[in-house]
Amino acid sequence: MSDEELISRILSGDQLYFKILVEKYQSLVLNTCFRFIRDKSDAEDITQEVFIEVFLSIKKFKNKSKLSTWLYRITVNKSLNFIRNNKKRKFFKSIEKKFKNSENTELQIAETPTQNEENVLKQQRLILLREAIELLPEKQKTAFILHKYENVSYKDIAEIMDTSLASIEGLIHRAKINVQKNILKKAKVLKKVVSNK
Amino acid sequence: MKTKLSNKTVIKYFNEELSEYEMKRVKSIINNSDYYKSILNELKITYRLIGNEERLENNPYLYIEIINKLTDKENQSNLFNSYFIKNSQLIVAVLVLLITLYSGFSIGNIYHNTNELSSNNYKTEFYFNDLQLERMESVLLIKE
Repeated sequence: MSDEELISRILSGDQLYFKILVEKYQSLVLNTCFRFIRDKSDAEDITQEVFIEVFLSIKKFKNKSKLSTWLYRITVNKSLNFIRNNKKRKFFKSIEKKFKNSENTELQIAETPTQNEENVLKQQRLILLREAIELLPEKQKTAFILHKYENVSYKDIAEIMDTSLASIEGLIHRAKINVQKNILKKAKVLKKVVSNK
Repeated sequence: MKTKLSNKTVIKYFNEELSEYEMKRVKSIINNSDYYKSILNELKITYRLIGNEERLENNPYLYIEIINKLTDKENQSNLFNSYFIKNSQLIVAVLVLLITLYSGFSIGNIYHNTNELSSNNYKTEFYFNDLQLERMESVLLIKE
């Protein structure tokens, strides 16, 4: 069933088709939220909010753009608003998490001595990568995440972010360089950790 | 001889954005340094991990949760509406009463003001004689 058909059925008042829409786009919304927020339960809450907004404002949706583009736009806006409103909360949470993680990794290593060192390294690299992306400015981060993690085309990103194609190209290029810079800066620290092990 | 490379140069080398000559020069520096080799290797491995992260699993109860939240919202708005309607009736009644009182008072004041005006403008005095020099009161007093 095409998106247009799905929307017209929802507008006619059949809730079953809204269920189909939720099932079809849940992964897109949930994972995009998660790339920004990096907390599963918060990402699930935002996903709910996104679909509630979709349900309440689907009358306003005009079939000029893709449904996925509209969904991405709502998701990105909700996620960025969440980040802005929770900066302080996030700060304290990250400290708490760091303590927990260090305890957990120590525990894991102690409990499973056969654990592959490569997996630990991969996890550390993933954390490093997340931190490198998190340091990006808001617009660069949005464009980079949508392109690299969600495989959204430049044209669609331009539509989602309501900007020109050229500026999206610039944003993604600068984001790429900045991520690499951030990785390089942190790689030295990681190298120390690896050599200690 | 140790040559220092800036992060910018390393990144440009990594992205192959340097000139042919520069690429060769930087390559030879990197090949002669274990430090730069490992750093570049780290950058390569870490950067390749982009997009390789596992996706979150779908929540099978998401639709039900959304519908529950929507119902809650609707109930809340209904509660607000009924509360507002109840109170608005009372507010409207009080307002009508106040407007009636105020308009009554104003109408009364208008009548009073016009009376005062008319009494000021058409104030007449009774005179006893034809020349109208003596007042009635003074004549009566003299007679007594």
